Amino acid sequence: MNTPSSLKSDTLEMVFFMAGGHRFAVEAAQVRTQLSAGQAGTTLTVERLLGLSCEDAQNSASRRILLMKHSAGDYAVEVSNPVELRRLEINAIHPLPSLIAARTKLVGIRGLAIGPEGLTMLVDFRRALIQNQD
Amino acid sequence: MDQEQSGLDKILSLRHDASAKIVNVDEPIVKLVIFELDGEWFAFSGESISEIMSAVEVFFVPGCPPSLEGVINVRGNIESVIRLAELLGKPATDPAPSSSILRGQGGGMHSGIRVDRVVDVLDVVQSAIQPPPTTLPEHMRRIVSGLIRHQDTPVAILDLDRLFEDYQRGQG
Repeated sequence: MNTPSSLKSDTLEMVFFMAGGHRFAVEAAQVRTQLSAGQAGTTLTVERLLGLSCEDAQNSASRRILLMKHSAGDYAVEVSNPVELRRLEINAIHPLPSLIAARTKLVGIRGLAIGPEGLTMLVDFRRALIQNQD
Repeated sequence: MDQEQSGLDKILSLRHDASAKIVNVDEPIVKLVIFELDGEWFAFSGESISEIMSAVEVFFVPGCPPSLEGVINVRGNIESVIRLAELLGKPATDPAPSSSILRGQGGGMHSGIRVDRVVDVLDVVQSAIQPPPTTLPEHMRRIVSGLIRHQDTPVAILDLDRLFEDYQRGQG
Protein backbone atom coordinates (compact mmCIF):
# COMPACT_ATOMS: atom_id res chain seq x y z
CA MET A 1 0.00 0.00 0.00
CA ASN A 2 1.42 3.37 -0.93
CA THR A 3 1.28 6.26 1.45
CA PRO A 4 -1.75 8.42 0.64
CA SER A 5 -0.55 11.63 -1.02
CA SER A 6 -2.30 13.76 1.61
CA LEU A 7 -0.04 12.31 4.31
CA LYS A 8 3.43 13.71 4.71
CA SER A 9 4.87 10.61 6.36
CA ASP A 10 4.55 6.86 6.05
CA THR A 11 4.05 6.61 9.80
CA LEU A 12 1.57 8.06 12.26
CA GLU A 13 2.45 9.00 15.80
CA MET A 14 0.21 7.13 18.21
CA VAL A 15 -0.11 6.75 21.96
CA PHE A 16 -0.47 3.07 22.83
CA PHE A 17 -2.07 1.94 26.06
CA MET A 18 -3.87 -1.02 27.60
CA ALA A 19 -7.55 -1.24 28.49
CA GLY A 20 -9.31 -4.31 29.81
CA GLY A 21 -6.27 -6.39 28.96
CA HIS A 22 -6.29 -5.34 25.31
CA ARG A 23 -3.97 -3.05 23.38
CA PHE A 24 -5.36 0.23 22.09
CA ALA A 25 -3.90 3.34 20.49
CA VAL A 26 -5.08 6.88 20.00
CA GLU A 27 -3.61 9.46 17.65
CA ALA A 28 -0.88 11.36 19.50
CA ALA A 29 -2.10 14.66 18.04
CA GLN A 30 -5.19 14.34 20.26
CA VAL A 31 -3.14 13.89 23.45
CA ARG A 32 -1.84 16.96 25.29
CA THR A 33 0.19 15.12 27.92
CA GLN A 34 0.40 12.13 30.21
CA LEU A 35 -0.19 12.43 33.94
CA SER A 36 0.18 10.08 36.86
CA ALA A 37 -2.96 8.82 38.55
CA GLY A 38 -4.11 11.41 41.04
CA GLN A 39 -2.68 14.37 39.11
CA ALA A 40 -5.96 15.02 37.35
CA GLY A 41 -9.32 15.89 38.77
CA THR A 42 -12.31 14.24 37.17
CA THR A 43 -11.30 11.43 34.88
CA LEU A 44 -13.12 9.08 32.59
CA THR A 45 -12.05 5.45 32.73
CA VAL A 46 -11.14 4.24 29.27
CA GLU A 47 -13.12 1.02 29.74
CA ARG A 48 -16.28 3.01 30.38
CA LEU A 49 -15.57 5.48 27.58
CA LEU A 50 -15.04 2.72 25.01
CA GLY A 51 -17.84 0.50 26.26
CA LEU A 52 -15.66 -2.39 27.40
CA SER A 53 -17.62 -4.62 29.73
CA CYS A 54 -16.86 -4.53 33.44
CA GLU A 55 -15.33 -8.02 33.21
CA ASP A 56 -12.77 -6.59 30.82
CA ALA A 57 -11.83 -3.76 33.13
CA GLN A 58 -8.32 -4.00 34.49
CA ASN A 59 -8.11 -3.08 38.15
CA SER A 60 -4.40 -2.54 38.01
CA ALA A 61 -2.60 -0.09 40.22
CA SER A 62 -0.45 0.97 37.28
CA ARG A 63 -2.91 3.42 35.80
CA ARG A 64 -2.01 6.53 33.88
CA ILE A 65 -3.96 9.58 32.82
CA LEU A 66 -4.01 10.88 29.27
CA LEU A 67 -4.98 14.53 29.11
CA MET A 68 -6.85 14.87 25.85
CA LYS A 69 -7.19 18.03 23.77
CA HIS A 70 -10.73 19.29 23.16
CA SER A 71 -12.10 22.56 21.85
CA ALA A 72 -14.50 22.76 24.80
CA GLY A 73 -11.73 22.10 27.30
CA ASP A 74 -9.25 19.32 27.95
CA TYR A 75 -10.50 16.12 29.51
CA ALA A 76 -8.71 13.28 31.29
CA VAL A 77 -8.94 9.60 30.46
CA GLU A 78 -7.55 6.91 32.76
CA VAL A 79 -5.79 4.06 30.94
CA SER A 80 -3.55 1.17 31.94
CA ASN A 81 0.18 0.83 31.52
CA PRO A 82 2.23 0.35 29.48
CA VAL A 83 1.62 3.71 27.86
CA GLU A 84 3.94 4.28 24.92
CA LEU A 85 4.42 6.96 22.32
CA ARG A 86 5.42 5.28 19.05
CA ARG A 87 5.12 5.74 15.32
CA LEU A 88 2.88 3.25 13.58
CA GLU A 89 3.49 2.27 9.97
CA ILE A 90 0.60 3.51 7.85
CA ASN A 91 0.69 0.21 5.98
CA ALA A 92 -0.21 -1.53 9.23
CA ILE A 93 -3.39 0.53 9.70
CA HIS A 94 -6.61 -1.02 8.42
CA PRO A 95 -10.25 0.04 8.49
CA LEU A 96 -12.63 -2.16 10.44
CA PRO A 97 -13.89 -5.15 8.43
CA SER A 98 -17.56 -4.61 7.55
CA LEU A 99 -18.98 -7.23 9.90
CA ILE A 100 -16.86 -5.99 12.82
CA ALA A 101 -17.95 -2.41 12.14
CA ALA A 102 -21.58 -3.54 12.13
CA ARG A 103 -21.46 -5.73 15.22
CA THR A 104 -18.90 -4.26 17.61
CA LYS A 105 -20.17 -2.71 20.80
CA LEU A 106 -16.93 -0.80 21.28
CA VAL A 107 -17.46 2.94 21.08
CA GLY A 108 -15.07 5.13 19.12
CA ILE A 109 -13.17 2.29 17.46
CA ARG A 110 -11.91 3.42 14.06
CA GLY A 111 -9.50 0.79 12.80
CA LEU A 112 -7.13 -2.05 13.55
CA ALA A 113 -3.41 -2.61 13.30
CA ILE A 114 -1.60 -5.92 13.39
CA GLY A 115 2.08 -5.86 14.23
CA PRO A 116 4.69 -7.99 15.94
CA GLU A 117 3.03 -7.30 19.29
CA GLY A 118 -0.36 -8.49 18.05
CA LEU A 119 -3.59 -6.64 17.45
CA THR A 120 -4.10 -3.00 18.36
CA MET A 121 -7.50 -1.32 18.32
CA LEU A 122 -7.24 2.24 17.01
CA VAL A 123 -9.69 4.52 18.73
CA ASP A 124 -10.85 8.13 18.63
CA PHE A 125 -11.86 9.40 22.05
CA ARG A 126 -13.68 12.42 20.55
CA ARG A 127 -15.98 10.14 18.60
CA ALA A 128 -16.44 8.00 21.70
CA LEU A 129 -17.53 11.05 23.69
CA ILE A 130 -20.04 12.03 21.00
CA GLN A 131 -21.38 8.48 20.69
CA ASN A 132 -21.73 8.22 24.46
CA GLN A 133 -23.81 11.43 24.48
CA ASP A 134 -26.21 10.07 21.82
CA MET B 1 -39.95 -61.03 -31.78
CA ASP B 2 -38.11 -62.29 -28.73
CA GLN B 3 -34.59 -63.23 -29.40
CA GLU B 4 -31.84 -64.15 -27.01
CA GLN B 5 -29.39 -61.27 -26.72
CA SER B 6 -26.09 -61.88 -28.43
CA GLY B 7 -22.83 -60.92 -26.87
CA LEU B 8 -22.71 -57.89 -29.12
CA ASP B 9 -26.24 -56.92 -28.09
CA LYS B 10 -25.29 -57.12 -24.44
CA ILE B 11 -22.20 -55.02 -24.94
CA LEU B 12 -24.09 -52.41 -26.94
CA SER B 13 -26.82 -52.35 -24.33
CA LEU B 14 -24.33 -51.83 -21.54
CA ARG B 15 -22.58 -49.08 -23.50
CA HIS B 16 -25.92 -47.42 -24.15
CA ASP B 17 -26.78 -47.42 -20.46
CA ALA B 18 -23.36 -46.06 -19.60
CA SER B 19 -23.58 -43.30 -22.17
CA ALA B 20 -26.99 -42.32 -20.83
CA LYS B 21 -25.32 -41.51 -17.52
CA ILE B 22 -22.84 -39.14 -19.13
CA VAL B 23 -23.54 -35.57 -17.99
CA ASN B 24 -24.75 -33.24 -20.69
CA VAL B 25 -21.90 -30.73 -20.88
CA ASP B 26 -24.28 -27.99 -21.95
CA GLU B 27 -26.06 -28.15 -18.61
CA PRO B 28 -24.97 -25.42 -16.20
CA ILE B 29 -22.40 -26.58 -13.68
CA VAL B 30 -22.15 -25.19 -10.17
CA LYS B 31 -19.01 -25.50 -8.07
CA LEU B 32 -19.69 -26.20 -4.42
CA VAL B 33 -17.48 -26.13 -1.33
CA ILE B 34 -18.95 -28.74 1.01
CA PHE B 35 -18.11 -28.59 4.68
CA GLU B 36 -19.14 -30.11 7.99
CA LEU B 37 -20.57 -28.34 11.01
CA ASP B 38 -21.63 -30.20 14.14
CA GLY B 39 -22.02 -33.43 12.15
CA GLU B 40 -24.12 -31.91 9.37
CA TRP B 41 -23.01 -31.07 5.85
CA PHE B 42 -23.46 -27.68 4.24
CA ALA B 43 -22.11 -25.99 1.11
CA PHE B 44 -21.37 -22.57 -0.31
CA SER B 45 -21.17 -21.78 -3.97
CA GLY B 46 -17.55 -21.98 -5.07
CA GLU B 47 -17.91 -18.52 -6.59
CA SER B 48 -18.36 -17.04 -3.13
CA ILE B 49 -15.33 -18.78 -1.60
CA SER B 50 -11.91 -17.49 -2.57
CA GLU B 51 -9.70 -19.54 -0.30
CA ILE B 52 -9.69 -22.34 2.27
CA MET B 53 -7.29 -21.68 5.13
CA SER B 54 -6.14 -23.71 8.10
CA ALA B 55 -3.85 -23.03 11.03
CA VAL B 56 -4.32 -19.27 10.82
CA GLU B 57 -3.82 -17.09 13.88
CA VAL B 58 -7.08 -15.38 14.81
CA PHE B 59 -6.81 -12.17 16.82
CA PHE B 60 -9.58 -11.61 19.35
CA VAL B 61 -11.43 -8.29 19.07
CA PRO B 62 -13.18 -7.22 22.29
CA GLY B 63 -16.72 -5.92 22.24
CA CYS B 64 -17.97 -8.30 19.54
CA PRO B 65 -20.60 -11.05 19.84
CA PRO B 66 -19.29 -14.58 20.55
CA SER B 67 -20.12 -15.56 16.97
CA LEU B 68 -17.46 -13.09 15.79
CA GLU B 69 -14.26 -14.95 16.51
CA GLY B 70 -11.86 -12.14 15.62
CA VAL B 71 -9.71 -11.05 12.72
CA ILE B 72 -7.04 -12.65 10.56
CA ASN B 73 -4.18 -11.13 8.62
CA VAL B 74 -4.40 -12.32 5.03
CA ARG B 75 -1.28 -11.21 3.22
CA GLY B 76 -1.47 -7.74 4.70
CA ASN B 77 -5.26 -7.38 4.71
CA ILE B 78 -7.39 -7.76 7.81
CA GLU B 79 -10.59 -9.79 7.58
CA SER B 80 -13.12 -10.81 10.18
CA VAL B 81 -13.80 -14.44 11.10
CA ILE B 82 -17.32 -15.50 12.03
CA ARG B 83 -18.34 -18.80 13.58
CA LEU B 84 -20.94 -20.30 11.32
CA ALA B 85 -22.09 -22.83 13.91
CA GLU B 86 -23.57 -20.12 16.10
CA LEU B 87 -25.23 -18.44 13.13
CA LEU B 88 -26.98 -21.71 12.29
CA GLY B 89 -28.21 -22.16 15.84
CA LYS B 90 -25.69 -24.87 16.68
CA PRO B 91 -23.79 -25.10 19.97
CA ALA B 92 -20.69 -22.96 20.27
CA THR B 93 -17.48 -24.94 20.56
CA ASP B 94 -13.83 -24.06 20.47
CA PRO B 95 -12.30 -24.56 17.00
CA ALA B 96 -10.87 -28.07 16.57
CA PRO B 97 -7.34 -28.43 15.14
CA SER B 98 -8.90 -29.87 11.99
CA SER B 99 -11.17 -26.86 11.51
CA SER B 100 -10.77 -24.52 8.57
CA ILE B 101 -11.56 -20.94 7.68
CA LEU B 102 -13.29 -20.30 4.37
CA ARG B 103 -12.68 -16.84 2.95
CA GLY B 104 -16.05 -15.80 1.63
CA GLN B 105 -17.55 -12.83 -0.14
CA GLY B 106 -21.22 -11.97 -0.24
CA GLY B 107 -23.50 -8.97 0.00
CA GLY B 108 -20.55 -6.73 -0.83
CA MET B 109 -18.64 -7.97 2.22
CA HIS B 110 -15.68 -10.24 2.85
CA SER B 111 -15.14 -12.42 5.89
CA GLY B 112 -13.59 -15.63 7.04
CA ILE B 113 -16.05 -18.32 8.06
CA ARG B 114 -15.07 -20.97 10.62
CA VAL B 115 -16.21 -24.51 9.76
CA ASP B 116 -15.42 -27.85 11.41
CA ARG B 117 -14.02 -29.57 8.31
CA VAL B 118 -13.96 -29.13 4.55
CA VAL B 119 -15.46 -32.29 3.03
CA ASP B 120 -15.10 -31.73 -0.69
CA VAL B 121 -14.97 -29.21 -3.50
CA LEU B 122 -16.89 -30.46 -6.50
CA ASP B 123 -18.83 -29.53 -9.61
CA VAL B 124 -22.50 -30.48 -9.74
CA VAL B 125 -25.03 -29.98 -12.51
CA GLN B 126 -27.59 -27.32 -11.74
CA SER B 127 -30.44 -29.81 -12.15
CA ALA B 128 -29.06 -31.94 -9.29
CA ILE B 129 -29.85 -29.13 -6.85
CA GLN B 130 -33.24 -29.56 -5.26
CA PRO B 131 -35.25 -26.69 -3.79
CA PRO B 132 -34.98 -26.35 -0.02
CA PRO B 133 -37.54 -28.48 1.84
CA THR B 134 -40.48 -26.70 3.39
CA THR B 135 -39.74 -28.44 6.68
CA LEU B 136 -36.64 -26.34 7.30
CA PRO B 137 -36.50 -24.56 10.66
CA GLU B 138 -37.54 -20.93 10.51
CA HIS B 139 -34.02 -19.53 11.00
CA MET B 140 -32.71 -21.62 8.07
CA ARG B 141 -35.39 -20.84 5.49
CA ARG B 142 -33.92 -17.56 4.33
CA ILE B 143 -30.33 -18.72 4.01
CA VAL B 144 -30.74 -22.22 2.50
CA SER B 145 -30.95 -21.91 -1.28
CA GLY B 146 -30.99 -25.59 -2.21
CA LEU B 147 -30.26 -29.17 -1.29
CA ILE B 148 -28.13 -31.91 -2.84
CA ARG B 149 -26.99 -35.36 -1.78
CA HIS B 150 -23.29 -36.11 -1.69
CA GLN B 151 -21.89 -39.45 -0.55
CA ASP B 152 -25.43 -40.36 0.56
CA THR B 153 -25.50 -37.37 2.87
CA PRO B 154 -27.86 -34.40 2.52
CA VAL B 155 -26.06 -31.12 1.94
CA ALA B 156 -27.81 -27.78 2.49
CA ILE B 157 -26.50 -25.09 0.15
CA LEU B 158 -26.24 -21.74 1.96
CA ASP B 159 -26.71 -18.31 0.42
CA LEU B 160 -23.68 -16.32 1.59
CA ASP B 161 -25.12 -12.97 0.44
CA ARG B 162 -28.09 -13.39 2.75
CA LEU B 163 -26.01 -14.86 5.54
CA PHE B 164 -23.65 -11.88 5.63
CA GLU B 165 -26.48 -9.38 5.20
CA ASP B 166 -28.44 -10.93 8.06
CA TYR B 167 -25.35 -11.04 10.24
CA GLN B 168 -24.60 -7.41 9.49
CA ARG B 169 -28.14 -6.54 10.58
CA GLY B 170 -27.54 -8.18 13.93
CA GLN B 171 -28.81 -11.72 13.51
CA GLY B 172 -26.68 -14.50 14.91
